[in-house]
Amino acid sequence: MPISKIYIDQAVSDSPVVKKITSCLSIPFETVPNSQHIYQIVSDQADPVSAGKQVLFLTENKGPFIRKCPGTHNYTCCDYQILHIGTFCTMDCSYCILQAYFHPPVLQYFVNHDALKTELRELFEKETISRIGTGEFTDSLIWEVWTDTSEMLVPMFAAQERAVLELKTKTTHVAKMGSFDHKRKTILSWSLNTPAIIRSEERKTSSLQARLSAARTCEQMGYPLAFHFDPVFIYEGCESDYQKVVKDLFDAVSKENITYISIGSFRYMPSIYHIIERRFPQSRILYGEFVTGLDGKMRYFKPLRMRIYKVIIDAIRKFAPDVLVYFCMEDDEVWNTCMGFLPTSFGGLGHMLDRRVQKICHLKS
Amino acid sequence: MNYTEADINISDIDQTDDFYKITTADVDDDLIHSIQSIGLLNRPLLMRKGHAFIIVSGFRRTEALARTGENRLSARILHPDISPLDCLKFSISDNTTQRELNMIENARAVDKLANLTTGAEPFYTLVETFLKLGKNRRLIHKIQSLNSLPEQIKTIILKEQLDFSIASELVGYPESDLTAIAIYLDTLKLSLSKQREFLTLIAEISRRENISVQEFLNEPDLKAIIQNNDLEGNQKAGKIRIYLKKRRYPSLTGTEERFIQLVKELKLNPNTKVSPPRYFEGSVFSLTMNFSSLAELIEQKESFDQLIRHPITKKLVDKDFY
Repeated sequence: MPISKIYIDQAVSDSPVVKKITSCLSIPFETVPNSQHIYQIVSDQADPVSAGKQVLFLTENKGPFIRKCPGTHNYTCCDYQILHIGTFCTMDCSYCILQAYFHPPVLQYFVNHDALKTELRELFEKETISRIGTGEFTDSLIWEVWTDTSEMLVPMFAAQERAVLELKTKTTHVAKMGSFDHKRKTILSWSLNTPAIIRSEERKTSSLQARLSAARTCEQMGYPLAFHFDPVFIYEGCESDYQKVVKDLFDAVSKENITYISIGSFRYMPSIYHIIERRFPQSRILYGEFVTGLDGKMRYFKPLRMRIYKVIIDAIRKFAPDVLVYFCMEDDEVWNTCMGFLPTSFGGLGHMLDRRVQKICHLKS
Repeated sequence: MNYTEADINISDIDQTDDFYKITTADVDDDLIHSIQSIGLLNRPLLMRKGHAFIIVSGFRRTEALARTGENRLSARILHPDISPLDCLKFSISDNTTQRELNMIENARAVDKLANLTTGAEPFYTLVETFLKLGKNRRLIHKIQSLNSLPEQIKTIILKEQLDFSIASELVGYPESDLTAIAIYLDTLKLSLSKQREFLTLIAEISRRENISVQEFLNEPDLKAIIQNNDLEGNQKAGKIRIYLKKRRYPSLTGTEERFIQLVKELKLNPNTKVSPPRYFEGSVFSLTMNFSSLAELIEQKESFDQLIRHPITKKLVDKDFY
């Protein structure tokens, strides 16, 4: 969705980052006294979610830049950390949780990079392995067009050996990546889905082939890769469609360079139901067999999700028996039935992933 | 109010013009008897339109008087320069000063005000002043939207068999769908929570299967239940609920049935109950044993020991019923 106006928080109006962005984007901009002003403008629109994608609010992050991923009880979490560079997205996926996560959802970018760098330096001083990504509250690479985010982050991670940065995206904005000396401390990752789902549910995102082509380009630049089959949807013909996606994936990139592949089925907070219904009347994703999960989110009935998980895992194992596949937010029963083991047998999922990034990204043990 | 009083022929009134009509009530015998015994206390408010008169307020009184056999009506005739909006205000006030409007009358009044006012502020001010419906604009539009519902649904609302929040969710459905829904609501007379459950299931099934609500509700399996004269309303509701759940959640309901079958095979005594994790999502089963004496508790212990040893118990715990 094209951005039609930039709003600049008065507190950061002198920031060089702001000047760089406003010069890149030749669209009107206005300085506002605080965030309430912009929130009111967006909230007053008939479709605040769409409105929030068409303005860019440049402001400062008043909270921490590094946060724990909001995993929930009862399901196994991967101990990931979030690098909070901004919020929301210019693409428009029907299922996107961010539509209901922020009130109202507004595309905003945090320009107080000195504070961000300070927090990262503190993280790098830790003796433990850190896996941190920018793609939880936004898409990691939508910002490439107007900002120098990766130009700032990739060299910082390259200069240390304890942490790895994941840039997760549905875009193909990888042109700048070739100019960075990354030292394999940045993982480029893509969210994958079937062409049918991309076509019907992931508006304004890149096609599957374009994503895989971008991944191949990044592999040629020497970056480690990762892939996320999340959210997986259950529909007629989904099994063969996901098998085909797996085949296309391994046709595009080499299995040895894949750090990990995550799998997670579509789940949603009940509050997003009416947003999806209203904004995507043609979508059928809400009408699967969903039940209330232990965390209050709606999930596919467990035997159904285990069935599609097994199909995807079997397909991956056929091409890459040794690649690390993990579930995002699933319980022991699902792990045991579909993977044949529990993460706790290997020190926990977080530990398994730490070991994997150590190996693939050449981190210090 | 600028008007003159006059006795006119009832036949000169165009009673089909209901532009200003707010009331949803029909003429009843009480009103006719009252007019027959003491006459018309409050004269209807009319306005000349072309060669005839139209009614601004007093629709029921005019019709009741005509039904008594009277040919002449003593009325107040509004000055022709009075604007339609002012006429509507007279009509609304005449109704609201006598009684509280029902949901459809409010919807009708709000809709008429919306059609006769320009600019947002005067409209909301008028709604607040004349209808006392508050300032919540979203709510006001929800109320207004009810006026677009077909008469069958409005009738169900008037019978207080359909909740406002659910009725407002029906706005936007094609009329053919609403006609089909009306038959179900009228026949089943569901509680509020059941109405929501039924309508959600029906909407989700029709969307998922790309069929209209009307097509779905007219399917032979459902029609066989709704048209079965041997069943009471609550029996029909029960059977339809099961049908809808099976159609909407085939895997879940199939698993539930297999679980229940296995539990039956355990032949537990009536004081013992085994329940699965909610929606089979978690891993914790529950066992309930009731007792009211030590003897019963001892009996339950034996039952418990049998349960542990029974091969079906392992099937249950291993979820060998998926």
